[in-house]
Amino acid sequence: MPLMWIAVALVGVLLAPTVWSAVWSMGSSQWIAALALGLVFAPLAIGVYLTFRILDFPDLTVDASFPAGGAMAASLTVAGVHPWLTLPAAMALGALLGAVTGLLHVFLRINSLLASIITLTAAFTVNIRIQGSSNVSLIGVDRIFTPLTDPIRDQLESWFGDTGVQIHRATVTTIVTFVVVVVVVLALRWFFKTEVGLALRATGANVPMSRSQGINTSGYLVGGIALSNALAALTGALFVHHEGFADVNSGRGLIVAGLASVIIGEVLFLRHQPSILRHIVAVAMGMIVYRIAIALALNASLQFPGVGEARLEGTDIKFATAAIVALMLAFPRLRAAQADRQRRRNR
Amino acid sequence: MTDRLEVRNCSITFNPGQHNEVRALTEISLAIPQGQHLVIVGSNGAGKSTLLNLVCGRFTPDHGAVVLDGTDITDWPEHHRARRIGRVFQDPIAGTAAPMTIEDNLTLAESRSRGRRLRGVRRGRDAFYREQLARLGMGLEDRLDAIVGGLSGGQRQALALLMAAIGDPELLVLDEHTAALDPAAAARVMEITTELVEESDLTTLMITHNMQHAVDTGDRTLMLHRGKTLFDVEGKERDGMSVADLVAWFQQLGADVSDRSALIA
Repeated sequence: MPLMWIAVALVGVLLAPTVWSAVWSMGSSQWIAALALGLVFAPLAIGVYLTFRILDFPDLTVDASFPAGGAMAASLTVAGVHPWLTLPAAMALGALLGAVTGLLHVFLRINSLLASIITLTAAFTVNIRIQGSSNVSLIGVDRIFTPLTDPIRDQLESWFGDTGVQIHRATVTTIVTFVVVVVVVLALRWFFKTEVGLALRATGANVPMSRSQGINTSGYLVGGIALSNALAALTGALFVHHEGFADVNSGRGLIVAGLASVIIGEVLFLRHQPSILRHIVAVAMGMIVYRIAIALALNASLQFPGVGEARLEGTDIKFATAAIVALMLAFPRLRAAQADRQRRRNR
Repeated sequence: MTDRLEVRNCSITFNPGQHNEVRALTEISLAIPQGQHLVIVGSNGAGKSTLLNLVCGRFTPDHGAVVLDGTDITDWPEHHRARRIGRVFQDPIAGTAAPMTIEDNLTLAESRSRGRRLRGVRRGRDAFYREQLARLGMGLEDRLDAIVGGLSGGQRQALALLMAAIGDPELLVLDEHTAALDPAAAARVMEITTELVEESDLTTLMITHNMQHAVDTGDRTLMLHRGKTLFDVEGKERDGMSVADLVAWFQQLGADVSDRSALIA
């Protein structure tokens, strides 16, 4: 145990100045951009929490339902559908993809990971068909944030005066998605306290017990995975409205980002035996912290006197995230192994 | 009087046609009248648990029928039957949802018999839940918001029993539900069982390894051996039966008496 902590402390001390300078070098617009992205991705994190923690069903389908939601939002918006209506449409497609994974698992007894890989492979084709091409631009088209940009700017200026700080589009995204995320969290909180929601939680907790309490566990599992992917697709749609383009390849590796947020949220914001509401909020905040951490990492530079400096590229983030998630997942096991060794030594 | 539960000439074979084929139940027939408390004993591999799983719907028979209150439920899935059958498992961990609160678990059980809706948990039920929990005499009535995973095995099993009996199911199925508990907790859970069953006049199917329970509780004792009924006693004949008689039966079969306490008795 002490060795591990010494290693952690050493890394911390080495990195502290770098992180410190990164915090101060980040401009307000960068902070807001990170916050906006954190809020945009919060529903996806909650979806991953739903499958990974509540249902105990490792599901990779989110990698496909995210671009699927984006494809739906982009193509419908371009076709002239009211931007807000593209969100439920995106969620419906995500739910469908999740249901396919669930049905493959429940009826054909295909292993959960394999079932989701099959779905996400097939979904790639579906997403391209919906979009018509591998990427679509929404530049010049009214998105959910467009009509709100001017009113929000006027409102902010009437409160704070013209501060000279440019009101970035991320500010608008932050405010609007914050409202969306609050609605999602409250809706889920209500849902998990209904009889159906309790049955869904029980299905994830204890299958034999759930069946003996009259719960159709197969049906609930499919429904739960569908709900999780609907949330990932909502994130996909919000992302497209925020960024102004849709790309079928944009979902790769998002499951790991979702897992990272779940773990970060739990480590930073939860004590043991939290309520479901606190857990959901913690996971959403975990995603915000994760996005801010990425922004900091991209701003940081390690100085090596006489040699030069090292900077992270955007493409390095996936490696860093994967490494951190692997470590976090390994942590309980490492700790148990350590305790075991300790016990043996004491005997 | 019609029978509450009827098992008609059911057989169950595991791995049919393979080298490890096992005949778990052989043409078994059984009728339990309404309000009866039937106790089933038998050595390991006698088919006791298979019989319960047949009744609860985890296994379907090779042939034969399972009839509950005159309805043929042979092809009903397990969760569908659970609306009418309450069940307690041997393992105290199996009968409750650990990460959820006592209140959540009771709500799950209460909505079992009538189908679940998108409706919030009613606060108004708390008083009823407290009253039910108070009957256990374990102080759980003041801990509705406690997470079930933090309770002791005896408390969890008592809660599971309460959940199975809530809403007076047509049949209560107890699968060696005191076997995994320490002696004090087992005795308490058995007391609660008798109270609940007698108070609501529940038709009960109980498996036990405890020979004392097999003689003392219930109205009728049935011994299974290698998938068949070996004997089936009730009334006067049963009243005269002692633990020693039951153990003698087991030894006659050359079977292990799996209950250590029975040997002492």
